[in-house]
Order: sequence, then structure tokens, then C-alpha cells
Amino acid sequence: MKANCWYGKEDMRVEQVNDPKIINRGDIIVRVTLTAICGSDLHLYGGFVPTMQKGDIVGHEFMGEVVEVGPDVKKLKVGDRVVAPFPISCGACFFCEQGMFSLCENSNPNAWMAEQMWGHSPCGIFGYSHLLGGFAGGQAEYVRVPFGDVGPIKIENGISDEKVLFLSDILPTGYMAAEQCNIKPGDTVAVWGCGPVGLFAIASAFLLGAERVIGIDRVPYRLRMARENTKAETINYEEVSVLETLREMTGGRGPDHCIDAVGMESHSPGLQYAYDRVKQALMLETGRPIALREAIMACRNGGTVSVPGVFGGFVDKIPMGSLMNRSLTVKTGQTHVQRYMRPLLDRIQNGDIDPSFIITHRLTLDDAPDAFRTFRDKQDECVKVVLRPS
Amino acid sequence: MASQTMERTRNRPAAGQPATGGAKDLLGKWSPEQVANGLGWFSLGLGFAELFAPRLMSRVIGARENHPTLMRIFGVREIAAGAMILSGTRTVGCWSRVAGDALDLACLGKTIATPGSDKARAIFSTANVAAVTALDAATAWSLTQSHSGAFNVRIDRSVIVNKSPDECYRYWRDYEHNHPKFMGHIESVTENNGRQHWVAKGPAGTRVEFDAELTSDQPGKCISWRTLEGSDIDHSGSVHFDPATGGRGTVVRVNMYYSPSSLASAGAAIAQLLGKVPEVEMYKDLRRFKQLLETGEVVRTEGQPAGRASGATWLDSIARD
Repeated sequence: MKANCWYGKEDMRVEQVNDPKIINRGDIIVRVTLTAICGSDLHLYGGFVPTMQKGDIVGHEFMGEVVEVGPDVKKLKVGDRVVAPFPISCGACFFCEQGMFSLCENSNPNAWMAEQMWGHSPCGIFGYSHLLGGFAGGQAEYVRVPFGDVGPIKIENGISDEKVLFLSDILPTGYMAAEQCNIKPGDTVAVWGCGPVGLFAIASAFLLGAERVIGIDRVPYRLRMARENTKAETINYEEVSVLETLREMTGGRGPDHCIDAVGMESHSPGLQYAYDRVKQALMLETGRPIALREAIMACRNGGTVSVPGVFGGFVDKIPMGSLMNRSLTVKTGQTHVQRYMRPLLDRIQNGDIDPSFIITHRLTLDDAPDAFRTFRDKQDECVKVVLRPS
Repeated sequence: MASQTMERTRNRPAAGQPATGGAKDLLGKWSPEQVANGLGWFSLGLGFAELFAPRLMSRVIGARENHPTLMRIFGVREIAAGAMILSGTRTVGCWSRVAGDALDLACLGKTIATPGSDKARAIFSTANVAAVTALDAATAWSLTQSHSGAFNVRIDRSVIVNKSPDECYRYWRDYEHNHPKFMGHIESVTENNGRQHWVAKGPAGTRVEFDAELTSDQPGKCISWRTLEGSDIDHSGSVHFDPATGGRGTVVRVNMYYSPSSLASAGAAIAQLLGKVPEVEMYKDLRRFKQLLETGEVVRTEGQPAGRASGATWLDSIARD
């Protein structure tokens, strides 16, 4: 089969590889009908994620048709149409039973390695380095999905792939980020990053009752997409000071909640960026938390800073004093996708949200290597790339 | 979720007794461990000086010519030895210091013999290095001595399992069917009248066999065992199945006593880095035990597709085996 494989920094190649097979008794094999490139895949592309190995198949947002089931699979049958969640979860450990699927204790066979880095290991993830299990990912024609009965959600009606694909990752991610803010009616929420996750966080914040949502970015077409598809107001951080503008917009108090949908590859026009870039190059810092610092400083007293943006290691100069002295709550995490798939599918089918509005590029799997560049460099007004395997 | 403590003791300690340190009186009031730590810091300091001021260091030892690259390499070696000692692998770290000292003495000897070098400085440096060598050797020897003797390495590890103590006990008690599934290095176990014959994979494709017996067996609570006389390996231990707090299942706690002669101490430091020391092996075994009990299988990726010859890589092997 064809698959998009990582071979180094800025080196993705579509290669002929073996087809997947059933390895564990609970596995299913999915023939992929639609897949996508995630913002976090760009960290792989940029060489920022350790423990990648040449030849790793990447991708963790995928859906398709079940073509094979393992002997212990009971809920799914060959022919079922499913969307697969990006976290791999066993369904039987303490965390899965609590609904914290991205913290599964059994699905990362390389947990010992992740423990050295993070103290304890989260779940295994498709196509996202050997620290998280080294699982073959979803930018391919076929994918083996462990614990097939636990994760994938069956799509029963004829709703289009484009409307449901993002249940795999980014729609639940934006939603969980907003949900973690514990939004009360009348609240103002500020969202750093108007990429796909940020856009869904904005939309979710409105669904959850926010009165004002402010999207922050520097790319005009993304700010426009936020304004045209949601009721968001926007700030371009290259034109104005974000902190001052947020202060003025909220009568000095600051937004009630702040969402960092940027993560470790943050950017700013000033000295902060130079500082963090240099530290990154010297390996004294593994990420640039510029948006995170700003979100903390902007947040009103007692508010919540919600961080869906991906970080891998250690960052510098976090305003701990601002957090502590002002009763801020920080909520984070890899999304517990399985928990949100059913409720969000219902929302989509009710017409509350149509996630396909973010798609700007519809390409094939063969285009993946170029598409990574287009997506990363925001060429051609790119917001989200979806890929059809054939 | 899986936790560990490791203690080095002279003899197998009575239950609940704390470990005692190694031989004291090495340098009056300091134990070999403390002296080793001091040497570790010294190595780090010296190493950084050699790495970042190699020309200055060359002058200090009286060398006529500058060999900054060589000095930097020595610096990296010193830092590595110091890091090894300070991160806990003291014995191997101290012996590697001794090896480094021997190399230093050889180089200093050449410096003294080279015409045009500052002989006074070189001889002074050599005297210093010789004194440090003596200290390194005495410390390394003392640390090695404190490891000898039977059954004095104790390893504790535990894992929390989302099943009842009875279920955990029953799974563990069926050695023949289940131990080869979760113990990474065990090929087979056969049991007859409370006596067990174990076949394990040794290093480099060898096989290690030993006999063991259960010294106590309380269903749902704990099992104790020891290897029998004449086995290749000496160990004894017990596994306890304690209810976890909050009704969250069982804490499966293993205490084992090893004879360190069954461990290859020369490669110990590297083995530690690669996760192939007994406490880490036990951690991995217990994780697999938990997975089998909670999900029925151990998730693998060997055989999955990839843009290379094999689905899993050496990195996965380090993390899993």
C-alpha cells in the first residue's frame, strides 16, 4: 500500500509499504477513505519531536471502512464505516473507565521511555513518535487500529466524510479546550491561534455559552475565516498589542478564559521570539511558549488558561507569579477524543456545527509531502488539508 | 503506577529492616559512597575545565605543545565519569575514573619525557594524579567489596491493577500458562508438586535454567519463592496482592533478592541506561502483567507497516525488552 513516511526534518515521502495485518486479537484494519494533516504533524515535519525513526508512517486523523476484524472484536463488522480517534485506548484501565482516554495505562508499549521524559506515560498515539508507542499512522491506504471496539465510532448514515473526519482529533480538541474553561453565560474567551483547532475552539466556546470570543492570529485570511464562520472578533498581533487590546475590550479586567491553541512553535514579531528561537537552537528549551505566556498575562483574575496547544519538553520563563498570585487555573491535556465523538456527532447531525468549513485544500495522498510545506508556510490561504488515499 | 526502591545490604535483611551503608572508615568519617560523590564532582569540574579551557589546562600540566582537541576529549571523558558517579552508577563510574587516571599517568609520563616541557609542572601534576589514582582505586575497590556476598541486592517494584486481589493472585499462580506471557526473559515454567523448573533467555542467545520452590502460598494474598541449591541463578522473593485504596483494584508488590554475581557488572552502567537492569526489567514485566489482566493482551507493533525493513525499531526494543 501507499503511505506517507517521515525520513527526517522536512522530508516526508509517499512510499510503497506492506499492508497492515491483525497483530493483537482486538485489532481492526481500516481502509482509509479520508485523512488529514494536523498542526501537530508540523512539529514532526520540523524535526521538533524526538524519537522519530526514518520510515515511520505519520498521520492520526483518519476514517474509512472496516475491512478486517480480529478474533476478539465484537462491536464492529467488516463493512462498517468508522472514524478513528487519535488516542489509542484500552477501555479497561482506571483512566479509560473515568473517561480520560488519552491517559490509558495500557496502550503505550513504550511507556517506560515516556516515563523517563514526563514522569508517567500517556496513551499510545497513531503516527506520533516512538515515545508514544511507535504506531503506524493514518496517512496511508490502510491502518491497523488496536482496541477496535473501544475507539472508533460507527457512522450509520450517509453523511459526507468531510463533515465527520474531524471527530478524529481537532473538533473534540477545540471542544475540550473550551469545555475545560468552564464557561459561564456572559463570559469572554480569548483564543490564541486561528488555525483549525483555534477555529473549533472559538466555535465550541460559542456553543458552550460564551458571549464574546476573540480570535488572535497574524494571518489575515485566518482571522477572516474566524469572523466569517463564527461570531468571533479578531486581533492581529502584528498590528496591535494583544495585551492592551484585550484589556480595552474588557474594561480592564481581561478575558475570563484564555485558550492557547498555538503550542510550542509560537511566533511573535519581537524580541521574545528571538530569545526563544535561540534557546531552542541551543537545546536549552524545547518549545517556544510565547502565546502561552501572553495567555497567562492576559487572563482575568481567577480565570482559566486552557492549553490544547502541543508542548513536548521544557519551556522557559513561565509567569508562575502571575498564575499563583491571581488564582489562575491551568487545564491541559491530549484530547479524550472517545468521550466527545458521540455528542459532537449529534451536534453535527443536528446542524449546530459544520466542521468542513475549515477545509481549504482537497488533495490526494501522493500530494502529502508538498501539502506539508503548503500547510506549514500558510501558502495559498491554506487552513486545513484533507487527503484522499487514491 | 509502577514504583521501585533498591537497597544494597551486606546480608539478606530481616523483614522491615533498613539497609546499612558500605564499609565506613575509608577516609575517617566518610563512607565510600560519599567519597565517590566527591570524586564525581571533582570529575565534573575538571572535565569542564578541560573542555572549555584546554590550552590553559595544557599549560597547567606543563605540556610544551598545545593539544586542545585531545584535552577536550579528556574533558568529555571526565564529565562522563563524573555524570556516571553522580547519577548513581558509582562502582562502574569509579572504576572508569581509575582507567582514566591510568591514561592520564601515561600521557603525563610522556610529557615529562618530552624535551622542552615544563618538567617541574609535569612532575607536580603527575604526583597529584597519582594520589588521586590511589584514592579512586581505593574507593572503587571498597564499593565493589560492599556488593559481594549472596542475596544482598534487593529490588522492590509494584504495579496497580484494576482487578481484585483474587484475580491477580490466580493469574500469577498459574506459572506455566501465564509467566512466559508477561515475563520478558522467561521461555517456560513447569511445575510439579510445588517445585518449578524455569527456562530463561540469557544474554546473547544463551539459555539459563533454574529450579525454584514456593516457600509460602496464601491464595489471594501472597506467594514466596526461592531458587534451589545448584541453580545458575540465586534469587528469592515474594509477591503481595494488596487491595488498592478507594476500591481501585490491587497493588501487586514484588520484593526480590538477587545475588549480584548473577549480574554482569562490567556492562552495568550501559545496561542501566538501556533499561536492562533487574529493577527496570521487573517494571516492564509488571506492566505486561497489568495489561494482560486488564485488557487480555499486550499491545505490540512488531510486524506493522513502515517505510523500512521492520515495523518496530531498536528504540522500541529498548523500551519494551
